[in-house]
Amino acid sequence: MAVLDFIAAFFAAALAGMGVGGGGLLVIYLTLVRGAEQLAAQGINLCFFLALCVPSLAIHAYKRKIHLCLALIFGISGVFGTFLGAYLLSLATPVLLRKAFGALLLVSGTLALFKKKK
Amino acid sequence: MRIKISKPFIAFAFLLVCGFLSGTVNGLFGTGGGIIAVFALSHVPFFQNCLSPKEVFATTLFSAFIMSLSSVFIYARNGGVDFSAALPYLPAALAGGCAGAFLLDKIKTGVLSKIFALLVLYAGATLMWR
Repeated sequence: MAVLDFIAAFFAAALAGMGVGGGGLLVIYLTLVRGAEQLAAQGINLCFFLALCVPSLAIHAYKRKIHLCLALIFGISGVFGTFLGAYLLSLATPVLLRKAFGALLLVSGTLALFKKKK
Repeated sequence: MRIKISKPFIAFAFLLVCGFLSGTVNGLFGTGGGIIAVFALSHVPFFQNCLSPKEVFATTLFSAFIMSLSSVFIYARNGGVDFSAALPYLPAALAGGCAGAFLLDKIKTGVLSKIFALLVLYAGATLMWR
């Protein structure tokens, strides 16, 4: 199972690093394949996402692809949002959380499927 | 007195609102804020012609990193992060993140994006109706 975990995590990280999918792929793997609780999977995914960002951001920064000012405006306003998100999380039951995450995936999957290539 | 609102001001306010929403999704689901960030940076007329798709992605990734740092602290304070359970996935995250960033300029992701979208739709439907 450790090998399967590594392969799944590697591909999830590589796809996230390429901009194909977000870090959410590991949540899908952990909940649907490993049977983890939604909240536990989200916690693991956050650590996983931070780790994959380190080399990925270093390479993007080296290639001068990051617009620092925009990222900081967006990121810092997002930090305030994370508190609201965490508050909503404390109100949600595990079943509601799972279904809401499923709805988020349906929306993002539909957007990705019909996204026009620039 | 009539206040004249400039286009950069509207774009800035729109970014703040979208950033807040993005952070809310990140805090609630531990992921997913990037969708809103990519949408905002690709659709705000003031910014959309300034950034290439790759710059939008890299900028989004950095803002998602900041939000995820905040979310990890909040989750950890509430006992929602098991660092020992996360540890085995970190080497793969480092290797995969590196590989993905190198491959970003080298391979076309069109077909891969469609396969990913179908996988995400399947997973979404399974989680919704399980």
